[in-house]
Amino acid sequence: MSQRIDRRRFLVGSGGALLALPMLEAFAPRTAFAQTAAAPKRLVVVFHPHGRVVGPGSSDNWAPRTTTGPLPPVGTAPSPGLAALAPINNEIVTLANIDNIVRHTSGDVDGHASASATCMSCVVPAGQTPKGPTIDYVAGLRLRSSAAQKMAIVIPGQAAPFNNSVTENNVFLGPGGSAGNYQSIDPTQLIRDLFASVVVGPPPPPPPTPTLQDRLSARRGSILDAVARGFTSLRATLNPADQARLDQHAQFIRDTELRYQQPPPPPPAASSCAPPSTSSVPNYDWPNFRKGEHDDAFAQTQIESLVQALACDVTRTAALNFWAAGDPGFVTEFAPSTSPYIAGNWHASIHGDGSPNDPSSASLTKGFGFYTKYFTKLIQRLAAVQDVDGNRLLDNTLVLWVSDLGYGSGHYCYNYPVVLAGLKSAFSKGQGRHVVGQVNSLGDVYAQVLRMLGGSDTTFGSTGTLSSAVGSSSFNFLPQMGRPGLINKDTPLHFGAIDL
Amino acid sequence: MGARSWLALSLLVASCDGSITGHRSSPSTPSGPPTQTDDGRYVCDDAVHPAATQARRLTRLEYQNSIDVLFDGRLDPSSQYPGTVGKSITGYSTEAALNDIGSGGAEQLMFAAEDVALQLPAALPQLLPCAASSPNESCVNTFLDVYGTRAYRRPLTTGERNDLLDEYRAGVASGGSFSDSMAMVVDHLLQMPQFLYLAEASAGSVRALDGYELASRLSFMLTDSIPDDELLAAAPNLTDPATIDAQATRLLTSSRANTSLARFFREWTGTVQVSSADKDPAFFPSFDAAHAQSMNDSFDRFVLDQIRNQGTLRTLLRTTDAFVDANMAALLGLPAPPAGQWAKVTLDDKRYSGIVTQPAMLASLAHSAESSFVFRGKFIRKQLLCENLGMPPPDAQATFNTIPLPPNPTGKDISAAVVARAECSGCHALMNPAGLSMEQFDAIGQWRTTYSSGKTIDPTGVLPQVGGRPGVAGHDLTFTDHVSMMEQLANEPTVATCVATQVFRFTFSRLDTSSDVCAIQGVGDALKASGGTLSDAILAITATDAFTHRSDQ
Repeated sequence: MSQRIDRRRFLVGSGGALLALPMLEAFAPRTAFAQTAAAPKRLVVVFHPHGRVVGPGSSDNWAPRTTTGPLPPVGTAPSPGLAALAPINNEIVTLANIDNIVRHTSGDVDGHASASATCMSCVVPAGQTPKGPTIDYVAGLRLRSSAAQKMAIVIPGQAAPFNNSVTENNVFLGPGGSAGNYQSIDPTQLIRDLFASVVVGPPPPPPPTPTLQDRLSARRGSILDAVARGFTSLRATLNPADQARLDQHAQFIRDTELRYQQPPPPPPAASSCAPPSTSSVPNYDWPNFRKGEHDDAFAQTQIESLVQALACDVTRTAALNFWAAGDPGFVTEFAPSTSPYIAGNWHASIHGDGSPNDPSSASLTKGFGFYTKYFTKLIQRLAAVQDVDGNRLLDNTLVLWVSDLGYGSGHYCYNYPVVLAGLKSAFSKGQGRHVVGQVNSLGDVYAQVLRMLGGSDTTFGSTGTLSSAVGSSSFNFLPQMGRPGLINKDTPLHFGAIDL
Repeated sequence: MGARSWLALSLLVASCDGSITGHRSSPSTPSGPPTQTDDGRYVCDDAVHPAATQARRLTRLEYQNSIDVLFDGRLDPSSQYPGTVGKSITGYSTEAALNDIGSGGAEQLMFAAEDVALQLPAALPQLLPCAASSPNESCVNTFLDVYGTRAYRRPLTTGERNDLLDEYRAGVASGGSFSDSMAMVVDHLLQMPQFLYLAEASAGSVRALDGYELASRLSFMLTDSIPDDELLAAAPNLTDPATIDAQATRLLTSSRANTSLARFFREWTGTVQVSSADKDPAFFPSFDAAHAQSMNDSFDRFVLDQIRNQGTLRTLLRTTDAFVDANMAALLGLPAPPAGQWAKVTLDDKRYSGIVTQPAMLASLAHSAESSFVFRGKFIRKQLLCENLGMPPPDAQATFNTIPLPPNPTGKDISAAVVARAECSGCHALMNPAGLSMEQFDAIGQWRTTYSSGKTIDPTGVLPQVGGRPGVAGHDLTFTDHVSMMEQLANEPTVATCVATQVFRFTFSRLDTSSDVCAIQGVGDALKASGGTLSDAILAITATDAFTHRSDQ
């Protein structure tokens, strides 16, 4: 062992008194933490046509349960109709008893056009002509960072002929029913339109690996707590005088422990804005795409553009519009060449309009699976992208999945299939639930969406009752198109808040 | 003669008149403070006489030594470990109150632990071979078996082990490497009171200490450190007198005891680590840091030589041995040994007498430019005769400043003026003569016969009332100089008893009480016995009931 006498130098004053050490360290922890940015809220609306594609009745397989309660664990299909949502059960809330009340002010016997015209705006239409604006537009005005920022962009979720405009189910509207902010059907052009002005800096550096001093500093509070317990254990064996000595030291331990509470987590990295490259888009000159042969690749490309548009703050409101209401083939959901909707017609099948239009719920549910599959992919992608505050982009984005009808088979306007996801802080009762209220309107849903985004709205769209909305109590409100026993002149357009 | 040999002899002698001292194998109810015979000896009857001890934090020296032993010299102790605060009552730095933690001390202990922990990863391959081959919880347990036991001076309890394992697990869970996680374990370990404190379980009136407690007492007394692995291994058998004697002897004769032995003599005599900064360069222009260091080393070599080479109380007080390097040779006016070397020399027996004339002690008991007959005289009365002089009045210095003095006063002139004041004479009449006998040594221990004024130094005097105790009058010692005074004091039984008392105070870190007289008598007997050495006296304390038992009162 080395001699260390020369290193052991007491601080000794004349006369032999040992001097006390000065305080050598400031009370602040040795590790500093960077500041973080606040993240804006966003809204994404997902739309599909025809509502619940099976039912009403025993074939209705959309609802996870009949009462309010938890959804199954992640990995278990919440219902046959929503099977593809199984990986995200913990991120969603499904709603039951949501009706489109204002549709009954249109006088539209067929019901589909009026439903389409009112499902997103909840405004009394002029016959079947919508009056807008829709929920995405209203939210977009409030959420955008400036008047110059894009808002309420509508991104097609399915492919269409290159020279064909998307005209089916144009449910997204501006003020007075004007056209919504529909984006190009060409995904390459979409990328150029959205991201041409986005300047992306170097990727954020990975968080530094904690040093050993960082680890020791992070454990200070915990170790001091253990030390205090050690004092308690030791003193129990001692005489009172020795206990008093240790108690004095233990008090200083506790005082010090208070200054070293559990430190905050390390600062998060910046948002990972990564605009897609046009080279990532498959060759769009596709033949035979109207049957959905390329919808897998197309939908994924579109979802990526939507997600990055939020991450790069190109916009704060967007819609994913599965617009093909007439004759999508959903060929990706069946074994090759076996989709009944290649020879048949999807729309007709929902209505059960004879052979060769297969009305079986199994096939219809399979086809519907396309929407649930890409809703899940959207949620997963939002969850995978980091926002500027270090949280998931999904945590700052409310996602609303809604349709134009409750039951497509008869154009019924009750029991709309509504799914909410994201923005988990706005769900006071958490997510992973199915909520069965008495009855709520779509206007109730959209008012609540606006409150969840920071507003104070209690209604959305037209207000009052059906009779006050049309100005007549003798109007034929077509009750047979709505919830049995609910629709009459006095039916309110809003029923109140939903238990979220 | 080993400690046990003289103790056995004492028993043989004492049994002739029915009085016995020493160790009993099992505790029995103490009979209270022992009675005293007419010749002053205490009757230590057939009962155990334990000593009360106080829980205390490790001193800075003990902490530094303990880190060295704990980690095989591979980790350095931290300079942030809090030192002592306040003034010692006994003179010994291990007093409990001196080492109490202040408001910032808890945080300093935390930083000190981290400083050591930060060094662990680099040393881990040598400290823990399994860290390379199998870095897992089994390896952590191996670490705790060795280093946890060393740190706590006993095997860990299950709860203590689990606490430290949890620290390791927290490190792994946070993504830390094995070595980083082990560093966190060390950080935790070094902050625990089981490491930082010497604390023994309550005893009530009397309790025999277990082997691990005895190992701690032995180790901290003789090496200012935690027990080494050999002592820990012997711990289960330390309740056997032969085992404790063997271990005490082993430690005392090892180099690990050097600093604690030197510390005993320094703190007993008030000999500080002399610094050239404490001396006036106008008076001592050549006394630089190197000379001060040589002076300090010379003192340590002297006292260790007394311990290691059969020094007795007489030789301690009367020898003319000294250790010189080139610097010390120049100070003492001697031929210098070869550069960089030390030599044991014999000094002039008309000038030098044992420890009190070691230059470091003389320099410590002095002012920056002048000697201090008060400091040196106080040492003789308080530390060599163990007399309680009480505290000076709070305005003592102010009073002194008003005392008229003749021009260029000698030491005796000043002393006479002070002693003439009634409020000063009670203590100074007792102290000053001894200190005045040593006026021929200046503020750095150099020999002189005149003051700087040219006036001759008169070293003659009378040391009054030596050896007095309640009911027994003391006697005066008349001397011609310090040498004759020390010759007489070396023959005084009171001095032997006082040195024994100092060994007791050093061992137990507190003033003695009436309950401790048997232990002190046992040590004194070792000093006074024919052939009794200083090392015998130090070992003798380990053979007493006071060392092997404890009480709370």
